[in-house]
Amino acid sequence: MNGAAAARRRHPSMRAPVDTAAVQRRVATTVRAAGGDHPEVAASVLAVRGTSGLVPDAFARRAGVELEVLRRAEAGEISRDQLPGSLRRMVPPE
Amino acid sequence: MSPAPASPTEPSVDPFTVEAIMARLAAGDTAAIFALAEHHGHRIAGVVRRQLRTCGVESVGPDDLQSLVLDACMELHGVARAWRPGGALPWWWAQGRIQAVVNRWVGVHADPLEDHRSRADREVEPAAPSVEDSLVAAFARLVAEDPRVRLVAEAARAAKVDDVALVCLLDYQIQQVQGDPSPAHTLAERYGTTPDAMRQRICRGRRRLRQVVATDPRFADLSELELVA
Repeated sequence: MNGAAAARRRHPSMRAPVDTAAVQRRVATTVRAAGGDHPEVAASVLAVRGTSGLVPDAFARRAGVELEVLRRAEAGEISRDQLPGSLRRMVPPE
Repeated sequence: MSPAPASPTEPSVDPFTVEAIMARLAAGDTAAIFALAEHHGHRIAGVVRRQLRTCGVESVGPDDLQSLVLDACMELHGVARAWRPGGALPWWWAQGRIQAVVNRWVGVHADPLEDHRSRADREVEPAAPSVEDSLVAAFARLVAEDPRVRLVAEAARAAKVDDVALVCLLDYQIQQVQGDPSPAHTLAERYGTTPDAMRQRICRGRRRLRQVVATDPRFADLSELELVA
């Protein structure tokens, strides 16, 4: 991304009317409806990856975790305590 | 929700462009909703405000606007696979969907028309248009209750359009009326087929129905019906 594009994105008129926490709550609802046992954990991990703009494999590499672990975390299959340290730090304690 | 699949997006490409985000949503990557809301939420909010104005709502609180934009993002997620880069921006392309979101919200917050009538004045409590979980069940009830719907079912039988195909036709019509820009994509997933096969099924069903309605005088009353038009 060049400097002009980055500056344009910082301009107040470009400010999103949606805060990340609200999106997180909505995504957690979707994960819960899909049968995920840990929707808040999934939503937190998805939020960090979503705002980073990274695809799953690049994000897993960056976080130093197995891709499969990331997939399971995003599907709500892993509790916060079971997450590897680097992912656990992205999820606020309940 | 299925786990996020690996996407082929190149690392050098700006991951927050409309095309990149829609490609990730189309691939089933739920995380892209965050990017959509954060980087393009203000544009979606513009469409939402515009639709609100058409409903006579000039101002909306930040919480309500946020909720509506989120609903619109979810709608865009649902139709991402049907969107093609190079055409209209997704929120304009799918503005019918966004309009449906806004209409629902306006409907929920609108004053009831019959406020001046007490419940005691009513002879029969009005029923909801559909109380069933599935379209098949709702259609079966309407066949029993409404002579016009019964006539449609009879015409379908005469046209050798089976019940599933008829409900599919109705579902397609409902999606179109609700502003779905590509009902074939939406229904293909629901009915476990491809969009092309879905279009063929709809086209074949409509053609058969149209033929029966045009040739059989019993079904002449149905000629004005959108379903066979």
